[in-house]
Order: sequence, then structure tokens, then C-alpha cells
Amino acid sequence: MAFPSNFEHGHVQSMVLSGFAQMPAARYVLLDVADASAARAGLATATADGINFGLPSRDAVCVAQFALSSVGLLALGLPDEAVRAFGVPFHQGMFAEHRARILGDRQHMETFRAAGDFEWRGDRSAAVLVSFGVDRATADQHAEQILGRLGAGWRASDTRLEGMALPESKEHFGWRDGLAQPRIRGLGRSAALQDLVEPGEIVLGYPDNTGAVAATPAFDGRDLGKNGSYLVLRQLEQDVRAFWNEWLGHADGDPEVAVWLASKAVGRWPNGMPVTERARKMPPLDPTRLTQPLFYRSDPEGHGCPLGAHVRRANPRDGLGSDPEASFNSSARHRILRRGRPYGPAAPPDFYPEAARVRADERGAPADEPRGMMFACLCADIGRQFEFVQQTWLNNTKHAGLYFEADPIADGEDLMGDRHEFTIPERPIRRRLYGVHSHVRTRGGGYYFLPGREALGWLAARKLTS
Amino acid sequence: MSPSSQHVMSPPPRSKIRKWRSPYSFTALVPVDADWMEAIRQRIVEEVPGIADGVAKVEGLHSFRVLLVPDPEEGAEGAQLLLNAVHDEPVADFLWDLETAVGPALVRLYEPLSGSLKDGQSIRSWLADHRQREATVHIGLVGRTVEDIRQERRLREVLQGLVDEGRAAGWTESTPAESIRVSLRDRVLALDDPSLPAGPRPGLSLVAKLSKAVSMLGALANPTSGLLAPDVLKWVGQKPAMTKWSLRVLLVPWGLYTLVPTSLWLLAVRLLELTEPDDATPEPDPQALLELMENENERLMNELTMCLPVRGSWIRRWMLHRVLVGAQQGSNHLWDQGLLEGIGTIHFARFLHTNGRSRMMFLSDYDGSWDRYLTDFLTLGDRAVVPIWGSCRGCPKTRWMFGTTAGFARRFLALTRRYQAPAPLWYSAVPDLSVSNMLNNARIREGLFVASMDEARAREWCAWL
Repeated sequence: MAFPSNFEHGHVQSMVLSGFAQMPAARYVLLDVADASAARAGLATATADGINFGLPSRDAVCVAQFALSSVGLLALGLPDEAVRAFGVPFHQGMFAEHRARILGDRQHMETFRAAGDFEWRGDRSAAVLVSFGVDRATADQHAEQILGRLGAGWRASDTRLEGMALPESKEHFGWRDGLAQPRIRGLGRSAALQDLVEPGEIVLGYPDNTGAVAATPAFDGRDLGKNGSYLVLRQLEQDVRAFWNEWLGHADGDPEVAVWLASKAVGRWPNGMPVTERARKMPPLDPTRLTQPLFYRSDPEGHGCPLGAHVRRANPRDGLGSDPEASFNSSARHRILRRGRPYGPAAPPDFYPEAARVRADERGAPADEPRGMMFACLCADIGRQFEFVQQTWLNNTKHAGLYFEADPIADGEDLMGDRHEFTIPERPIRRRLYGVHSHVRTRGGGYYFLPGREALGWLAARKLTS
Repeated sequence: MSPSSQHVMSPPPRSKIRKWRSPYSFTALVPVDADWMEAIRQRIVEEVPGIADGVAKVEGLHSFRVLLVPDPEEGAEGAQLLLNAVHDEPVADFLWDLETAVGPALVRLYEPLSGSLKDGQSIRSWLADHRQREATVHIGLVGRTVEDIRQERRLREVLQGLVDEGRAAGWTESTPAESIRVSLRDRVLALDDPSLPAGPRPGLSLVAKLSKAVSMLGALANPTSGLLAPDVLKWVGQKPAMTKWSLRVLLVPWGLYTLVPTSLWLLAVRLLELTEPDDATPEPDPQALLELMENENERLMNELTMCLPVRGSWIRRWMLHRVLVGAQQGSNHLWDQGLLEGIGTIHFARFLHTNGRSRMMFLSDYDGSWDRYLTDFLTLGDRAVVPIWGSCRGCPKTRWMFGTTAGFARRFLALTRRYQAPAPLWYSAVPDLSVSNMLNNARIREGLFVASMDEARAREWCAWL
């Protein structure tokens, strides 16, 4: 299968086209503009040689990507009306009151304001440089190289943000991650039909799933959106000890039951296998079933994968309403391309039941190191895609006919109507857990725009407005 | 009128007639001259808190809103002060209750527009004089009163506790579902709690059933009802096998009867689509948009009120009128089980065709976010929404009435935001339940009080808990 003929994939930043599985390490450098003129000159240098576009070669050991916030676009001289054309969410930023409400972050913000320990905010930095590498040292060195090319016009923040994949592609709670992803039509290996999306769902300037080309932000006769994509970054801290203590509590201390209950909440077993109605123990890994699409119409009441489970909320596929086809079409309008990496070392083995343990790498497994997920996703419309998933599916207590329960794994805090319940359909009658709390906290984040080659070059070359 | 005089009057006898379709919607629209705009805005600010407190005490009131609706074409015909209520009681009884609860505040609110209500006219009578009939009213839970909804919510909560107790006491996979259902029913009845329903909701009377059947025949007699053919076939497809085939046979003559008029209608629409100018879609004012967004998502339910200009030609206006008649017939008979063309989040939706059919107002109470609601309009419910919006100026062109053109979604969303007006007063009687929650609670109640069930049905019922 080939890309649509007009898709200029060579002008799109590489992380849109690849998850860089061979480069598990990532370094995120937040940047401010120290001198706009010098910053533009440096950006021109880095765009010409440093920032990667198109599919990376198979033997690449490092890749650099560059994204701007609304603050950054303004700092480079774009007038406010032009920045507004990038859409309300991008212009307002992740931490505006209304956006924080949508994302379920408001309580986090209050907590952090009170404690004064907010890690970072995208709306207070101009740009982010993301360096991927085969190991941490390579990612760090490459970041330094690109910073050198960007020059003195850019000032790097002291906040050190990094990501590093964990063994067996797990995230910190112990689940294999990244199994369900949309694929841009024509890109890479074949995907199940319902996971294929048109380029316009992720990259601006191309037809989306409905066949329409959304208007792209433009200024001075220049299309600034073409070949660009919105990048959402969120630092999500995971409290592994509290997570497993909670599920052990729901299981009266039985580790096997705790893994089963938590797997129902996630919607998959830790090894990635789908949860089913009968199995109470994790089945052996069968790689052929990991990518098998979950047809929720064959499990309409959620006896296998509960209606409120994390994976079912994050991508309901055919399970919205009574019309599977309409549900697919509707769900397909809200897909996002995830490009995150865990951060921090694995938690100590005694934090986990045995079946969910995360193997430690060379960093060991210290108890008190911060750890979590440096969530990153790409989309063509932050409101329609990322925020919609967060608000309407994950944080919605009424999702799929439920009453008072939000996502048991990653909901926001203090959501309207959330009584922290979690329902597991069983026969003859359901099991309902009470006091189910998320152990994921937002520690920072931002909305960025990952421009295409031409737009980045133009931003670097044009003169400042008054 | 002296505001206090109303309270000494004895209430009129209450209507005993129960129609086949309830609750009811009441809308009063009062023109506001430009000279009075500021005064009315000020009155709204002053009176909204008192009215909000008062309407919460009106029995049988599902939803209530008051807002100033700006004219979609500024300066053309002026703004209107809109009051809308969805209520269980017949209009005369509802207006009496409303006046009793918030009469003096309403008198003060409307005073710049009503004069001083001379000649002893009551505010309820004045509102009735300004009533504007809805062209279409869609109801999520047909026939359920506020009291029903509250009782059923309480029933579900009680059952939740009883189920947890039963599980703890040893219900296992082998416990028959029917024995669980019966034991739950016996325990509920033993509570003898007046806040719980003591039996199923009474069915429709014979007169109401006959009235409904006559209404359905009237809908089928509409020559262009063939526009609803896909929806009718879908509705028939959900019936049991025997009924389904019988209905299909019976519908053949109807199909033949409506074929020619429906085809002519579609051709006429297509002709309009090809010849009308593609009006530019007005963009929402950025500041107004931010204000709208700031007021949303603080609740599980939200409201949407908007007033759009209808395309200019008389034939378009007449066609929109007929489309809204058809939408009402569809809502009466096809979309009466909680879903409006697949959208399951609408508590109430009302369309008004006003100002000599040159304006269309849309009022809605819905679950969840604006983005989700409008996305549903463009995906699940496009067959119901596109033909209506397509008659409005600024809406992108349609194709054969139901189809959309490239870029439709973006312009549709911009148009909706442009003409949306926030309601400073909006009340919902049961703000914590979604339509789907209410429907589930209703079927839990109906199932609980069935004398006996086979095991398969009882299992299905247990799954609703």
C-alpha cells in the first residue's frame, strides 16, 4: 500500500511517520526565545541540517524534532491573529481554565499551585526540542548538537525532561503499551481496516477521513499548516506503589485477584492479551492475538472488556451506540497517534504482584525516583481529537451508559459526577468496586505545533513584525 | 396586576387528561426593542437568582431557561426575550404553578416590555398571550414525569445496595437470575418507601393509544413522508420477525403512494441546491466564543440555544416548515425510545419557526460536551440534522437534502457557534442523570415488577443493574 500520491511525506517531521522503536531514549528540551533575530537564524540552520523530515533510515541512531508553542510563534514575530488561526486550544494552551476543565486537570493545577511544584508548562516555553536516540547518552548528545545549531537566540530551560522505554515495551504499572495505534494510509506494514486513517487526520493540508481538507493556518499568503501536525505533550506521573496497593485492597490482598481486577480496569492483561469473560489468570502471550482487533460488538455488555475499561474508553471502535458502522466512523474522527515514552526507572519488584512486574534496566529500581509516562500524541485538531478523547470518553462518567464512573486508570481528579465506581459485568449480576482512584497525575504539559519543512523555513526566514 | 393578588385566587381545576405524548414544551417569545435592551439585560441580572430558586420548587418542571436571543441579522428585527419550559402538567396548570412560584420576579423581569400589566392581567395570562408554538419537540424519555424519573433513580440506588448485600451474602454464578430478581422485588416492596415506585408505570389509556394510532396514520398520509423511508425501514427492522414482515407488506402501498411526491420533492431540493448562492458562513466572534466555552462543561448536562436566519426564498421557508413537520412525525413515532437518529444524549430538543418563517430557533438540553453533541449531529444523527440546518443561511450546501459537501463539518460548527446564545438562567430537574441512565432506570423499574420472567429475560434484566 502506498501513500496517497500528493502526500509530501518528505516534508513532514519524522515522528509523524515513525515511532522510532529502535530509539528507546528521548530527551525533551524546553526552549525560550532569548533573541528573536538570532533565534530565527539558528532555526534556519537547524532546519537545513539537524531537524529530521521524512522516514528515518533503518540504521539511524538519533533523530531531532522541533515544535513551537503559541508563545513561540508570537516570539518569532507572527502576529496574534495569525496564531489564533491555529485554533482555540493551541492558542489558549493546555493550562487555560476551560482547557484544564476539559482535561480534568483543574484539581492538579490547584494542588500544584498550592505546593508550588508544577514541573513545567508549555504555555510558558516557546518551543520544545525532542531528541530521540538509541540510548540516553546518544539522545543527550544529539540534543546538545542541535542546541548548538539553534544558537544563542534560544535559551534552554533547566527543567530536565527525558523518556526511556522500559523492557518488554511496558509502562510503569506493568502493562505492555502501544498496542493499538492508528496508521496513516500507505505507511509501513498493513493494519486492520479500522486502524487506517487518512493523512489528514494527523497531518494538516490533506483530506481527512471524511474526504475534506480542513482549513490550515496561513499568514501573509503562506500556508503555515501544510505538512504540520499538533504535538500534545503531557508529563503523567504514576504512583506505582499506590496503584497496586489499591488493587490489592479491592482484592482483599490476593495478588492474583488484584491482577485480574486491574486488568479488567485496563482492558488487557499485563502481557497485552485481551481480557475475556472466563479467564481469571493471565493467559500466556500469543503475539498473533495482540494486534487482533477487539470487536466490541461481540462483547456488547462488557463481560470480557468492561464498558468503562481504559482501552475501551480510549478507543471505543464499534461500541458506541447501536450502529457499529456509524460507531466506527465516529470513533475514527477522534484517533490520535501516540509517541510517548516512559520516564524514570522501573519501580522496585515488591511494589508489584509478580505477574505485572517491570524488569529493571541499568538504572536499577529505586523506590523514590519519580516515574511515569511522557505522553506525546500527534493529531490534526487538538479539540476534535486529543481533548475529545480525554473529555468525552476517558473523563466522562456517563460514557457507554455508565452512571458515576470515569476512567479507572487515568481519569482527571474531581470530575463532575464521579463517585469513583468501577463496574465489572458478571453473570448473573455485576460486580461493582467503590473508591477506585486514579494514580496518575499531570505534572506538566503543553500544546505545540510540529511544522512542516517549508513552514519552519519560512518562520525562520521572515522578518519580525513590529 | 398586583403580584400578591394571584396568591389569594383559588387554583383552577386541574386537567385530568393524559395525552399519549408528554412532557410538554411551552415557549414565550417577546420582542425587545433596541431601546430596551440594556434595561432587560439588567433585569435578567437582577431577577435570575430569585427565579432560579423559585422554579426549582415547581412540581413537574423538567427544564427551564430564560435568555435574550439576539437577532441573527443585527438590527433587522431586534432581539427577543425567550422563556422556555418543559413540564408535565398541561400548559394552563403549569403557568399557574409558575406564577405561584416566581410570579413577582417574572413581573419585574418583563415590566419594561409588558408595561405594568394593567387591567388586572396576570403574568401567566400575559405569557400565554406571547406563546410561540414549537414546530418540533423531541423528547428523550417519552411519558416519564419528573416524579417518575426521581423515583426510578432512587429505586436504582436502593437496588445497588441490595445487590451488593446479595453478592456478599453468597450469590454465585449458579444462582438463578430470576430468583435474584424476585428477591430484590420482595425486598423493595417490604421497604414500603413512598420515595420508591410501588409498581410499573401505568400504561396509556385506550383513548391515548387510539390517539397515537391516528397520529401515526396521519404521518403516513403525509405525501412526502417517503423522505423518512430509511428511518421507517430501520424502525421496522427492529421489530420481532413476524411483525417485521407483516409491516413490510403493509408498507408497500404507502411506498407507492409516497414515491412520486417524495421524488418530486427531492428534485425540487436538488434544483435549489444547484441554483442558490453558496452564502458565506459567518464566523463566531472570538470573544463571544470564549465566553460560551467558559460557561460549558461545568455540568454533566448542557444547554444549547440558537437562532438562525432561514434562506431567503419563500419556497425554502415553506420547505423548512414541511421538514420540521416531518421531523415532528419522526420524533412522535420513530425516535421515541431515547435515540434521535442514533443520538442518545438529547433530553429535549425544540425547533421554532418564527418571524414569518424567516428565523429558526433551536433549543436543546443534552448530556456531555458541546463538541461531542455537535459531532453526533454530523455523524450518527446527520439524517435528522442536515436537512434542517441546510435550509439556513450560511450553512454549506447539501446534496440531495441529506448529503453533505466537502468542508461541511467545519462550516456547520462555525455557523452553530456564531448563532448560539448563552442562557443566564437554565434549570434542569435531574442534572446528574444522562438520558441513557434514565432509560435504564425506567426499564429496571418495569422489569422489577413483572410477575415472572424466564431465566434468559431475568439475566438480561440483571445486566441492567
